Amino acid sequence: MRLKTQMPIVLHPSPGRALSGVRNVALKLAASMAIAAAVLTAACLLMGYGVRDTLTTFFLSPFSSGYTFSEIAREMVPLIFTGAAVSLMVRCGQFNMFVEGGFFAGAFAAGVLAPLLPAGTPLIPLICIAAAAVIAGLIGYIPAKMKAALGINEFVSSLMLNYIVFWLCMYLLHEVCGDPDYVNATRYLEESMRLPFLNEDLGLSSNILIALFAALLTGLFLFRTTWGYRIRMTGDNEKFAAFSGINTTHSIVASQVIGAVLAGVGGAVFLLGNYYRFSWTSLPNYGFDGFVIGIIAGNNPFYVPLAAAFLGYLRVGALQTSRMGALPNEVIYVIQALVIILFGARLIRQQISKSRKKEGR
Amino acid sequence: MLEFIFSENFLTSSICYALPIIFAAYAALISNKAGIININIEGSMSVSAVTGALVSCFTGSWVLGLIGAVAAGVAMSLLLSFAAIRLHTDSFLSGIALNTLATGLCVLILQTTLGVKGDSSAAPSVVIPTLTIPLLSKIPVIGKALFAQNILFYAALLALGALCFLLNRTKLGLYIRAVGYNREAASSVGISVPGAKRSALILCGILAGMGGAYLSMVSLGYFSVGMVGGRGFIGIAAEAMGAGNPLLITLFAFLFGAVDYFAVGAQTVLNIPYELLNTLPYLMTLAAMVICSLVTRKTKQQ
Repeated sequence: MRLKTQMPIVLHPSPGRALSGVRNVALKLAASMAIAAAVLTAACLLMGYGVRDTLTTFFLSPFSSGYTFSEIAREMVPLIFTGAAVSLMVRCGQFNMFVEGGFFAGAFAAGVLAPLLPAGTPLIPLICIAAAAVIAGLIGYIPAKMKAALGINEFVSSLMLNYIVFWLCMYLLHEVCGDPDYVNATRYLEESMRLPFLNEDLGLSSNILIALFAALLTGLFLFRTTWGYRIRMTGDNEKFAAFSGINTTHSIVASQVIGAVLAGVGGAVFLLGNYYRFSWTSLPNYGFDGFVIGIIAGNNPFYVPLAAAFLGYLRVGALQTSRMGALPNEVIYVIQALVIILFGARLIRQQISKSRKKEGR
Repeated sequence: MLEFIFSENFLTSSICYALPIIFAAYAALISNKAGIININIEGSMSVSAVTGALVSCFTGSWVLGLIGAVAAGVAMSLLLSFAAIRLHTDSFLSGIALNTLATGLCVLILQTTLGVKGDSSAAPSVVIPTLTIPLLSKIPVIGKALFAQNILFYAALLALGALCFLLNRTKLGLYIRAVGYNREAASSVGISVPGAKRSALILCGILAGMGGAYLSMVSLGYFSVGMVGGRGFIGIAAEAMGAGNPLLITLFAFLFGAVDYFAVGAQTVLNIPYELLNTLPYLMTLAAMVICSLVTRKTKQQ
């Protein structure tokens, strides 16, 4: 089903117009780099590390070798999936945190299922990814239905669900389906169970291609299908959407379930591409990262890969810095926080548009 | 099993486990009254916890530690009010941003001061003392639970009274409620909307600060990364279920604390894996949210 004519009321910019402010985004990206530099300098001065060395490592080392460069791609995979999932849900006005739990559950499901399938089964990764999608979608249905049927705030309910999913997975991992010969991990993933490498020496997995494809599909779904249109309408103005005959309950549930599915697929794809066992011991925080990506990309799935590349670059920089024995990796969280506020601030947005008006553009 | 639940120890420990949640719920209450959904309570609590632990350790005084924790909570609130009110970032997004900031900040603070990453057990906090009221604490069953508690327990009681008084009997409380109820109307009669919101957020920061201090200066005795563990969010859930009524909120928060303690305490009594017990507080939050919503729906229909 394709929607040929769009209705006139579209509050969010359509993909064609979203980057009409290329300059705006470029300015903010530059400002983000400046923020990163400022935070790093302050942290270095406080902790007594060399400012110049740290800054050089942070900003230049991601490009210094093929390995670090492919590490950016590795960082991008979860960011793209969670970013696309968050974008989809936020477009529908839903602040659902289950992206975090869904990602975790998807990775866990894939890690458990792959070694269980009889050897020689064709397309094991695909089966695992499908299973992860189903599981994440089913759990994701819970907060969605609670919101749609009972009006329960999806933010709190999905957060609680994350902890439940986490502890359930931990229970299963420790007591039921872990590798008996290995502490707190699932069985080893053979080559036939994993997604192929693009370049094994660099550790570059093909899952980045799947991630890019997923972002593209999400974008097409959101902007080129009737379902996507309904979801956007519901997010823009729920009352108006309902008034014009859109079943907003369906949109709310659909956006959250599809978001959860995306997250689950992301977890599975990430695990099967970059790990040999599932052995995570805490929630990996990717749900919140999805919001960072969403806001940098303007909640537009087509731009999610670009935003993920930017954040991935900063993260590899932080990783390299911490590997050098300088600043702890967590400095990236401080930078991320300031970037969210920078991109989310309406005041800054207004001031930029004001200054552009003054310039006569 | 029943012996375990109906013991004096269970009541006392439940209150201990409930206190951080109670503080978080009060913090959520005051910011919600001003119309701000402050999900940053979680982050504020962890920054306060680390500040309280370190300040008390370095100064050797729990009073200064507590003041430091409260100041850290207020600082986080001021950051939120700057982002949400001055810069007009969506308050929800600002909350996410500040929670992320808190995650990084706690590790950076630990690294800067102690040179470690995970926890401050190398520099234990000065524990906030217990205040035993003579005579009253000798009452059987409830005596120990209510009259031989940590100073912060009495602070929570005081906060409950103060909140009720502030919201219902003072000009500031009226302003805060008016702004939360209808911003335009409040602003049209000359109430400063940003001012009222900022005051509410500062109070929210003080409460979250005490909650954080309780965690690192009473419960554990040192700060550990991730020690807040969603208690800030559970506090928000308790506030949502209490529907703005401070007493109901306290009750729900206490209930969460009891389940939280049950999950820990029952590990020795019951033969259930701890992972499953750990899901209990969160499962109960979900269940309670469903029940509450069903009940309010029914009363509305009648």
